[in-house]
Amino acid sequence: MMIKNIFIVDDDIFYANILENKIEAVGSYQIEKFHTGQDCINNAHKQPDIIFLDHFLGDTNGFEVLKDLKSTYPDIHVLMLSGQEELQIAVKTLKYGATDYLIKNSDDTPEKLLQIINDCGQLNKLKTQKKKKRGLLNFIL
Amino acid sequence: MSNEESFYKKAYLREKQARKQAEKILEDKSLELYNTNEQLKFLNNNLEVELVDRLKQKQIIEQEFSSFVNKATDIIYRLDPKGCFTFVNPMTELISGFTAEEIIGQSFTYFVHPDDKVEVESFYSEQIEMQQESTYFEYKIKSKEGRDIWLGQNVQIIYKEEGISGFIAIARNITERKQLEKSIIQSEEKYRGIIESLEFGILEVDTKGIITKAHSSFSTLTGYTQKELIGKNPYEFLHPDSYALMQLQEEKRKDKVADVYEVQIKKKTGEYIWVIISGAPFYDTEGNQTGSVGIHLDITERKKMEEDLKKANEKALASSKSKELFFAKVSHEIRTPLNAVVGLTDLLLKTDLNPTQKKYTYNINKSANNLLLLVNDILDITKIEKDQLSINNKPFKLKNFLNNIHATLDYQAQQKELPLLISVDKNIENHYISDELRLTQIIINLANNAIKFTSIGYVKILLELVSIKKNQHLIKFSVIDTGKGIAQDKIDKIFNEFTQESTNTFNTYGGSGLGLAISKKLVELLGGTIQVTSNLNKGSTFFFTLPFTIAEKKKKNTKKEETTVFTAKDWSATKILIVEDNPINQLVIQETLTIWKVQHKTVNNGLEAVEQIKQEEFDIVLMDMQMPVMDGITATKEIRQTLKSNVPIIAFTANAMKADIQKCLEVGMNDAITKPFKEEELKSKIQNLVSKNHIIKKSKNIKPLLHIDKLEELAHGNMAFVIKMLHIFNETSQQELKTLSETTDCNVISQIAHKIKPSIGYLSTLEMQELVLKIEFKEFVNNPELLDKFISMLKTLKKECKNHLDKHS
Repeated sequence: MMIKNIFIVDDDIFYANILENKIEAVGSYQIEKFHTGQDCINNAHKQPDIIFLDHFLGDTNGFEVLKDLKSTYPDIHVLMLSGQEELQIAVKTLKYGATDYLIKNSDDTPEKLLQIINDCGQLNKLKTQKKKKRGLLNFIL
Repeated sequence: MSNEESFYKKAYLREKQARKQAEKILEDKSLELYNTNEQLKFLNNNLEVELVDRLKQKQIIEQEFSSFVNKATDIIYRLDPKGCFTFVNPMTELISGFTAEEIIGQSFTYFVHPDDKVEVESFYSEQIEMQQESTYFEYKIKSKEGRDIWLGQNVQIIYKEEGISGFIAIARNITERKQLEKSIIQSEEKYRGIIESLEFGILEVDTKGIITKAHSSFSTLTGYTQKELIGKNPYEFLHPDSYALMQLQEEKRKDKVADVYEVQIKKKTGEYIWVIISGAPFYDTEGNQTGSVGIHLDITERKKMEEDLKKANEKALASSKSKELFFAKVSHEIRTPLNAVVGLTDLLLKTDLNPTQKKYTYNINKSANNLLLLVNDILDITKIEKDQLSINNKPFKLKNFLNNIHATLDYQAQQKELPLLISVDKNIENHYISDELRLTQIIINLANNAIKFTSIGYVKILLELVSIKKNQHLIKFSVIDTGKGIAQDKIDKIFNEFTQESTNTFNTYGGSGLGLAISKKLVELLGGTIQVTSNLNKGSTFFFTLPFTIAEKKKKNTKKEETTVFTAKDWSATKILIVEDNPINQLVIQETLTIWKVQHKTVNNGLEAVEQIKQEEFDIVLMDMQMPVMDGITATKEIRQTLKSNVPIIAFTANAMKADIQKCLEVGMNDAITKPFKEEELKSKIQNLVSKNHIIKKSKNIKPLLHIDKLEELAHGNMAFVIKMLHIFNETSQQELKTLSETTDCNVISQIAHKIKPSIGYLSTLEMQELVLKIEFKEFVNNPELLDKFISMLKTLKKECKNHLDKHS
């Protein structure tokens, strides 16, 4: 499953643009940027493949947005954005269904971004395969 | 009157009175008798009417009963005490096909199916023996036409004082039900058969997870008997590594989710096998979960294959890694001594030597250089053969690229007193995207050959614009010489590996014969084809055409950089730190730098370098990669991350592998140079970095806070992006400054710092970056001037940003 659509959610407009530029440099994706959690949730029905989500948003906590997103769209990959200092928090988000986390200005190298995006694609592929396998078994029994 | 007379009179009167009384009684009795008689008559009459009524009623009932028996859809018949038919209803005739006449008087087993006769007889004799009043039994009869019909029969024993007086039987045709039952049993058996014959082991557990049913297939799979399984907890048969997964799946099943997962289970033999389990909950009619069923498929073979495949893959990877490592090692081992030979002979040639010594030294130097080329070529061709050579397209400046080529080839050309001409079509731009390194390699290879095979005339590198397509330029590169040319019959083979025009060539000119093969492959990798035209003794032209994407121009600094390459500089103020463990290499670099009149200091490893940089400021660090105590990569990380120093670092690497150079740049080195280095190359690299650094240093006096080089690097020449980002910063910082001026809440201030931190990381100095961190961590609470400083610096930064925007819009 190719990754096509990406959301970037960060109340820091500057960093959202930086990240957009960095992602655009590693491949051609449809990128949309949102600066509040509510905006992201309102647009989640577009079902992007990946959401880069800042854990600290002006209007709400990134956690809440994460939980909200995963409860409605469990298949969307949410990648939490965090600063070096809040690494602990970022790691915790994995428990709530985040696929991975990204340390701003450190993890956002082209190699790492490409790897993360490809990993998400790979995960989607595995998920589809698993579904197929399960379908096949249900069909046998 | 006499006494007698009165006596008689009295007696008479008494008699008369008594008689009167008797008559009266008689009269009364007569009346009573009459009345009774009348009553009796009436009753008698009534009784007769009732009798007629009763008789009529009885007749009706009998008629109804007989009609019921005759019209009944069930068989109804009566037997005498001996078991012989005394009555059969029409349905008996219809179902059995026999007429009443045929049946009456026959034994009750008359039309019972021969197969069932014994069983039926024994069943009913038991009923009589046990004195069971009524029974139910199912058996087959054979009809007159020979059909098998199933009956379900109720038999009632009729008793009288003297004992059994007969039997009444009601039987129903249950053939259809029996057939249905049979087909259900058959299909059940069929599916059981299928399931049992499949490789699936099926296990059922109750809600507590205890095994309630184990199909024989599961026994076949695991070797346990049903007895050994039922009532047990499946965890007893599970590999401890699979416990966690199993628990997770149990949770899922509670939420009514069916899933497929892989676990390891222990066979009776003690051996573990991998199974894939498809587990699903099942429910009673009210929807309560009563247990789960798990279908197990042995996937040990598949797992083994996966494992083998993984191992094979790892092995292959390791072997390819070890090969690469081997090449790196060999190249390192060969290059290090060669470095010394080339470097020292270079230095030796600059001392006072007598002509013979000079000639020998020159030859040593030349041979060592050739050997070096050979090593590089062999490495390259190995990589090409393995398809390991990758193209790394990046924006580059054509002028810089040509300057580098000129600098590299100039010495050789001068030695042979050949003019080296570079001619560029005026329509060709300066900023393109391509793999500069590979392009340089191709041109240098071709031009090296051209210089080598030309003794009189010139060597010319020609760049022509062939076509323009949107943002792509098609550029033709030609390397033209006036040398000895190539014979027509050799021209086809010239690009083959290890082929030179003649065996004589090697003797006269040296070389590996790999250069052209490598160039050809590289041109192909870049998307072109190399061609050659040649006239013997008149010269050759090697040419190829490649597409180039135009990169957007960086407006700043282009002119300066162009000039710096060629202007000789006074380097006496430049201070270089040499980090190198090998004493010979140290000597070569030290001597070279001394000749250039550069100040230098030498340390033996990365750790010493870090210590030195802590104490002293340097303009450039030349960093060896492989060193004891601390290697170059670790040292660079230390310098960049711990010391937060931006001192330019040039990697000194013996590994010509691209991956190594990549690694250097990744950890924050500014450039890399392969040992043994070419003086010119080192010179230009140092010059480049020093001049860049000088620009920064000069501006240190004014201390601008705004640095846009990081953004420019990200932009890859897209200036619109830089401007857009500056606009964003200008606006957001204005808002944040406004909030800062209005609030006293230290949480809000910390949040602002947190939010603006990434932009400052991109746009401003280390000092500013450290300051914003301090604000985020609320250090200003104890140290209020920090906040004032931060606000004032942020204002300055915003102002500089605005100025830049005004200038460039």
